[in-house]
Amino acid sequence: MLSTSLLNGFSILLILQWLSVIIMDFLKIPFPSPLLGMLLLAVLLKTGIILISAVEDICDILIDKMCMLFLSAGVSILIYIDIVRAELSPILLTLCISSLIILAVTSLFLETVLKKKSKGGNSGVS
Amino acid sequence: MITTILFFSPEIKYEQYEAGASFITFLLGPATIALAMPLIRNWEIIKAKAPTLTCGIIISALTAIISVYSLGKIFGLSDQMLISLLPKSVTTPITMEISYVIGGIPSLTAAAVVFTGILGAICNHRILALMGIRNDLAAGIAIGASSHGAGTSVCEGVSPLQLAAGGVAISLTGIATSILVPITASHFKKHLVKYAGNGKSPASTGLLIMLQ
Repeated sequence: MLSTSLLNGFSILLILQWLSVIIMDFLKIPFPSPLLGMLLLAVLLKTGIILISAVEDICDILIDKMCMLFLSAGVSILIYIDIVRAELSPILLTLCISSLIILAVTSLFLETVLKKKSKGGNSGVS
Repeated sequence: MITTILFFSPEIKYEQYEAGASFITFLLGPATIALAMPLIRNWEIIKAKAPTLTCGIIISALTAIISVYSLGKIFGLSDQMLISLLPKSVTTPITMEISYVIGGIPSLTAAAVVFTGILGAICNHRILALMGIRNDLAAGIAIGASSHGAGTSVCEGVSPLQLAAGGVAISLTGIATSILVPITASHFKKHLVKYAGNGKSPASTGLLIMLQ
């Protein structure tokens, strides 16, 4: 892992982000611009315009250290500490129950569909 | 931990912290773009199961939006809080952008996401075992779609397919949610319009700082 390859990869990512911010500003659609960058990168990698080896290292590092990146952003919750404290228990309840529902619905659905596909009928679950 | 330190030490001003942290926040943009990597690496899985995957992801994103919205209403959350919690099952960099786009409070969303992720990391596999889910692909997608990165990292010890499926689900859920949430949000947003745009987009703030 050479430092030049990291720099190159990072500048590719920055250019993509810059492009996607400009495109989103231009289109004025409510869609997060980094996500457009992600789709752009996926397309460019798939078509071979950008080599996977060029961005592989920097992508791995960024994804590895992602929890550190959003920690600092999450700390800004201090500004809103009063609102949060006022509604703490409803927030926690909503988060817990809806996580459970999402997990259950998605896994049951996929399990059923995948079983049907492999065995041709007879699901058994849900 | 940093939150706690800041909370109990009044002599450190939040603004001082913000000045140093904004560069790290800026890195969230490239980190989101880097999420394209798991998509490319697991291209074969995606291609083989494309219809199933798409349906699963869309269903999970819709379930997330509907369940958070209705539970929030039942428990009497304020509107802005509700909007901030809507995109909570997506990985943090994406979710903060979505939250900004629909007029929520990005940092609040981030905190909710971290909480969801940790909760998922602890409970997911027990719940899945209780429900009798044995298909690794189904389990991975469900975990990735409900509790993103933190939840998926636990899959590493279970099976490689689960980990890969989780990684794919993280990116795909991000895409699905960022399309669905603004659409649905604008539906019940008539009385919420006044909140729009009072947060800061992490990416654009970072860019501004870089330019200065």
